[in-house]
Amino acid sequence: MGFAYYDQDTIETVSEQIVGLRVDTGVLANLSYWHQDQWEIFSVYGVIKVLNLFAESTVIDGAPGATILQLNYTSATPAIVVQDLSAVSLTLATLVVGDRLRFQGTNITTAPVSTGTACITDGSCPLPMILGTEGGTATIGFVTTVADATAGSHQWSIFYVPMSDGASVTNVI
Amino acid sequence: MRDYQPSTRKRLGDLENGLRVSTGTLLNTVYMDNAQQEIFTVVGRVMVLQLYCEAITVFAAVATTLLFNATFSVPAVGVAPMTGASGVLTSLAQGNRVVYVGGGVGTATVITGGGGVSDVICANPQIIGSATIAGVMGAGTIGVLTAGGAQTSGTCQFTIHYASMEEGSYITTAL
Repeated sequence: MGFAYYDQDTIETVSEQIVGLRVDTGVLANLSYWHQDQWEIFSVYGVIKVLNLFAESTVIDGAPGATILQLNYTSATPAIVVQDLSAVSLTLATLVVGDRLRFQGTNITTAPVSTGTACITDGSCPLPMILGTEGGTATIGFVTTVADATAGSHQWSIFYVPMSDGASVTNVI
Repeated sequence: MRDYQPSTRKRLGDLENGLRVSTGTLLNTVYMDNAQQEIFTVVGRVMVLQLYCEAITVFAAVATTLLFNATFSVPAVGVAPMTGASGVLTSLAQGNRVVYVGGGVGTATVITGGGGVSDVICANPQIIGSATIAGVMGAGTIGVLTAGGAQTSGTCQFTIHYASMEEGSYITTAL
């Protein structure tokens, strides 16, 4: 018989200190949100380090078209126009339930990747990014292009740690 | 010099390495039998920080290879590799470890260093499992597939270090 079990509170507390604080969006219909337009998904206050960020497919994406996605950042205070967080992904048309489109951090020209196998993401964000400004308010968003998704749903999750007093992330949608 | 309480050492270890779950000592004749064996149960979504098989007593002189994989019942996903196959485990000595290194799902497990010395560890953890959808948590198992010949003697132990990435997620083993 194996050993080293933990109560759930310990699991959550230890895990948050390893993978960061988690914020999820709701489950989003691809038809509405992967529609060749811009959406804001998370609000950012202050300065944060983004440890992981991904969209998980919760219902198979039946998109016949080749929807692609790019992550970005827009600051309201101070006023900074939309900035790239990543390059564009490859097509999202083949995502199945449990697939994740994963932000890789590293630099702003690094594309998010749909990786591995359903429920097995081959790697995590290797080089986190620092986002935000001291006391500033901003959003993390994405823009899809090329084609509209016509079916399926997904959910975004971000894992972060604050890097300035009071820094936090909340979901917009 | 600081004198640390056992609970402090344990918590710092958990924070550095992740939450640890180990099997008991397993017979190679049962768990390295040239077939699929399920080792850990995964509930929800976790990051697999470290995962390895350690030789507890010397392995048989059989050219067994080993890879880690995962299978999910929620959502339904058939067995899929987490790693590529290791080199042969012929006469693997006590204390040697066969280590998952994360990264791409085809990346081979590595027989590391020497007895008690692992000179390769996971540097790019995989994310395993799925989010809770409509109140239903993801569910699956992490298993091991051996090939190249069934082990005829020796014992081993599997250990995983993980972090939860979804409320209520955890890993257990019944072995």
